[in-house]
Amino acid sequence: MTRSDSRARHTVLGIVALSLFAALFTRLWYLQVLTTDQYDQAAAANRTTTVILEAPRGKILDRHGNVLVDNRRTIQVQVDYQDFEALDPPDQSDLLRRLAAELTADQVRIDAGDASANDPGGDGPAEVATGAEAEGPDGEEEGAPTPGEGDEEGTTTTVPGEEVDPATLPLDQRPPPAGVATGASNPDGQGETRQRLSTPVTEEILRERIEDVRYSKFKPVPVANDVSEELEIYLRENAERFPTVVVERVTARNYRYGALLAHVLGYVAPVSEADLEQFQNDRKRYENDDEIGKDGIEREMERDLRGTPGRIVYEVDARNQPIREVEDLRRQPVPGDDVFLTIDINVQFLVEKGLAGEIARQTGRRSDGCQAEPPCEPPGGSSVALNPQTGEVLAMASYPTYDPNLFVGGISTRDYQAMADEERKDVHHDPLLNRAIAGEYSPGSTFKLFSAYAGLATGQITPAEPYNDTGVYKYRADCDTTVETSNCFKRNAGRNPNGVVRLDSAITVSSDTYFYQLGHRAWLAKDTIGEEGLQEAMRLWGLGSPTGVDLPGERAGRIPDPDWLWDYSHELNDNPADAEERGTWNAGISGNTVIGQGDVGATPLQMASGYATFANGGTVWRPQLVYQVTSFDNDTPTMLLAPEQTGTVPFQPGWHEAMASGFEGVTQAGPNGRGTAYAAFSDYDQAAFPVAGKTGTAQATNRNDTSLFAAYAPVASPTIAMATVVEFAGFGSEAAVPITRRVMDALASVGGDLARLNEPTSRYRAPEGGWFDVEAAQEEFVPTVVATAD
Amino acid sequence: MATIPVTRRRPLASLRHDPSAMWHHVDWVLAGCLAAISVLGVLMVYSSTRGPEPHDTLYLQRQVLYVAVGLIAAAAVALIDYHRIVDRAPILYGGTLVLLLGVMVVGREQKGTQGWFALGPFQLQPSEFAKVAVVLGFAYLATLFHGDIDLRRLGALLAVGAVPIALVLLQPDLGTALVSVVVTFAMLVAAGVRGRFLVLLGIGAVLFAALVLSSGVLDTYQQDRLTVFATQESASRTLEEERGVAYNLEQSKIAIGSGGLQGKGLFNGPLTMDDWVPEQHTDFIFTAVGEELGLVGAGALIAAYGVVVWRIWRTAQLARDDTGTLLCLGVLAMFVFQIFQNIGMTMGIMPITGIPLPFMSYGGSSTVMAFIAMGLVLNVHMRRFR
Repeated sequence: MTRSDSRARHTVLGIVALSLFAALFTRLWYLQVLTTDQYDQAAAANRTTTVILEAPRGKILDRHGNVLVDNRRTIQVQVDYQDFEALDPPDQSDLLRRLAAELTADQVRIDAGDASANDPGGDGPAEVATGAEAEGPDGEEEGAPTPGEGDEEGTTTTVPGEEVDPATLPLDQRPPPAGVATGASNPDGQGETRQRLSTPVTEEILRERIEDVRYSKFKPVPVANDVSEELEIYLRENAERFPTVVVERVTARNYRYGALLAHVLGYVAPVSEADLEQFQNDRKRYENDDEIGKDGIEREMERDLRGTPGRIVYEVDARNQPIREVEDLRRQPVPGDDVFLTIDINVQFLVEKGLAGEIARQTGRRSDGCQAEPPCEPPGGSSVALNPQTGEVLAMASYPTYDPNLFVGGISTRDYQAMADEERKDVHHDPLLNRAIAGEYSPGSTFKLFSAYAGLATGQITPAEPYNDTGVYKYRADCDTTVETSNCFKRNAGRNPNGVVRLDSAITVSSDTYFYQLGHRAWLAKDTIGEEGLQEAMRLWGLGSPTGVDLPGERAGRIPDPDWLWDYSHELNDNPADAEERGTWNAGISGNTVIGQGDVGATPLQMASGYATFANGGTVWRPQLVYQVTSFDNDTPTMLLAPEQTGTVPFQPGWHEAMASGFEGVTQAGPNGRGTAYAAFSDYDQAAFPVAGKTGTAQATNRNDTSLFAAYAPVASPTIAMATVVEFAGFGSEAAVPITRRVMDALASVGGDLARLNEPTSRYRAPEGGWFDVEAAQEEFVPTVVATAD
Repeated sequence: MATIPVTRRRPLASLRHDPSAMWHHVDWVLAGCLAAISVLGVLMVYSSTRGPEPHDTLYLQRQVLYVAVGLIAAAAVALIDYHRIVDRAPILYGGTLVLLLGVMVVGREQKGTQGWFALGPFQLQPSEFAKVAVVLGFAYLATLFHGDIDLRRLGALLAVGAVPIALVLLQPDLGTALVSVVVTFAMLVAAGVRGRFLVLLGIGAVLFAALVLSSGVLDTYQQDRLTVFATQESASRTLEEERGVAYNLEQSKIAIGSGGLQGKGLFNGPLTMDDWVPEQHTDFIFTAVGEELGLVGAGALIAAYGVVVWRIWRTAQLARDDTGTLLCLGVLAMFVFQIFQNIGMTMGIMPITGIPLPFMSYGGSSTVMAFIAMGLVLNVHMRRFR
């Protein structure tokens, strides 16, 4: 190697060294001069952690100011998912077993009254020693919290097998009222009355909850609600034996009236991806495991009910331990707004008791309206009560129902599926469905209100025009009525002739043939009044479209017309010949439509709204549930909603009087004839609070009749309009009328003054917890059972 | 077999005036820079380990001890004529191999690497010795070859480098292996290996690297380090990555970047104070300098290193014989690469490997070895006229 060669090599090495140092300098410059701000910010962000403070959700109240939904404190046991996964499997099993044992033992103590599940420093009556976890039989916590009344505190230890009067048990230990679904053990609300003893929590149950995908894996997963303070202390003091377990005092939603008004109130559950897309915002930000309203008013008014979360920002060290608080960035949580509903909880109680009671009474009965096999087994029903002058919803019930408290603290997938699975509809009968707004029923004869009006409006009938009801209507003169299967004639429902009727008496006795001839004439006159002449008049009442009530999930119902029938038939039938034949409107279809059968569909709300519109003389009001929203700290409403008119039904002179006379006669045996609801109202004092209405009996092939009744009262200036449907429960007067009677009786006793129903001494006042014994409910009212077909 | 030094003895009386005497040729610039860097190192180790009140001085005390031991070792090494040291290279080299083998058997596993002997409260890291052993071994052989290196001799040289590298890789200590590879290569260049061989070796090294990466020798977390380096600007990361290797790199860059021009002040760096940068007293010591002393301080440190490297290079030029040159160039390569790799990795321009920053990082073996290597250079410098 020559000297110069060696020099060259040295130089090469030197240059390499130099370039490397240059690179270091350049990069250093880049980091510390060019991009230093970005790194400075990152350094600051590193060092802080933000704790989100939950804000309480707003309350929901009824028209009298009774608190229907608020929040309560509960002691919750949680498991930190990340830490749990880091444990070895044998340690995991160990932990879960020990925890399950402790939770079970705690339940037993609470049930026996030896421990209290409520945070004594929280909301609610402090004397509750009996608030405890409500269990489904598989041990899943459902958290039914009802702060019972003070005098229900009891240390009743029950011996299995002993007959105990359920009314003497602490509130949460009573069997659920009939029609209240409670989960896999009681999916349709018909679960046997039994003692609800707590079932043990097991390792498997805990594991299922921890793995449940609905819970965010980055926050502790709640595994038990409503544990006692003793357990809380125990778990804290023995933390090393229960790694990853956290005990927190959290706020839980509290539905104070149990299952009452469930469908209107809705329920809350952890927020989903779809929810976040729709609701996420910066002012009231949602974290991954926050609660959100899923149905009912909780959903409809979510943006108002939700509180504004607060925050505390801490400076932390590398182990995420707080060093100090950054005071400037602290924000206090702001509770959500309170929502006031037009609902009268006492009327609601009457309605729900009525539904459950009458359904129980009809079940298993064989009657004129229940001829099919099996005998009456009503799977469901619904009732809606409105104020006809404003459209305010006084009550809205759907049977079967559920207890929204079930969802607090998390419902198990099994329980939820048992009540909501499409496949098992015939078992659970859809307790989560709000039939009042989503049940589209054939209205039967209650539809005659709209048909009568349509007949008048299209000039097909006049109030005074007589018609001879022979019990049969022939569509063709040459029709042979001895052949029963012939489709050229129709009979009255009861097959009896009614003699000469006019509009008012036709309504009172529910003469089908009068209406068949109405429908036929209208169809024959289609060149003058159009093919949809009747339908247009019917739609003025809001039928066939959603009413706009402030609830999610409303269905539109249907008023069928020739165009619709054509399209529908072609959808259903592949064979063009069939499609054409079945899609072509004819007089018979008009006839069916006019008596509320066939393809006519209306929700109970629509029917109630229709009768309310008639009751007030022709103003269509939007059914209204929310009338006021108030911020939590002051009494001045932030939002007042006035009744909203959505339509008008014009009455010519003479029309309203004739129809009203007809409806008034339904509950009486007067000049119009013996009303179809007379039997059930025969002992009712019509002078005090006169009731007018219309029965309906919707028929379906090979099935029992569906019972309907719509009514309004008092006749002179109505303050309530109601519509009731009970599926497959017989004639209108068998089930639907008695339910209405109960409400009318109560109102009559207070002269129609709802405020008097609400007085603490009133026997109609709904109790907190909303519990009733279904047998007692049946016995409260004994209808005079002489059913008449209509 | 080594060069035989010609000792010219002078009468004692004129020792003081002997212009070629060793004492007059201590490279004070080099020594001064090293002293300054070591002091800064001690301060930074203290800053990154002292914690909140009452401050922990354990690491401070130990690093002072290591520096003191290092100074003594450097002095000792400088006093012995380097030719005598190189003569004993085979023993020193063999002893290192024994230690490397031994650590794999009785050593303690730490940070995924089995490379440490536990000696009471202290730890001995043989891979640090390996680097110097390679330099010595190389110098020994290359001097014999007098710059005439045919294929067979090349093989011998490669073997000298390869054996310790392989043993170190098996620990696995990727960082030290990498340094030794660079040292080997640089010394081959210095020793006079022909250009075309160097190119072939270069290609071979790349292939070998690919082989190592795709074999299972590397731990997953070491593979992660390389992946993270390659994808550090990408936004998408799994949770594990966020919490693991990527976190180290991010924290490191954040610490340095947030230092800005002047830094946050000695002992006042928020991330340094609150332990935000992992391994901050060892591999990531530079982040403390960057955060607390800013561009001014970090730049000065890099400049000081630059001066050190320059002085080593200059000594290589001035060395009396090839042995000295080779020693210096070997040490040069070692330091340049280590400094570049360490500081580069804290700034994200090199992948993360576990190499300490010489004279700054906390650690007995690395500090003492660095001083010893400097002692060799001083040694050469002092004797360049003798």
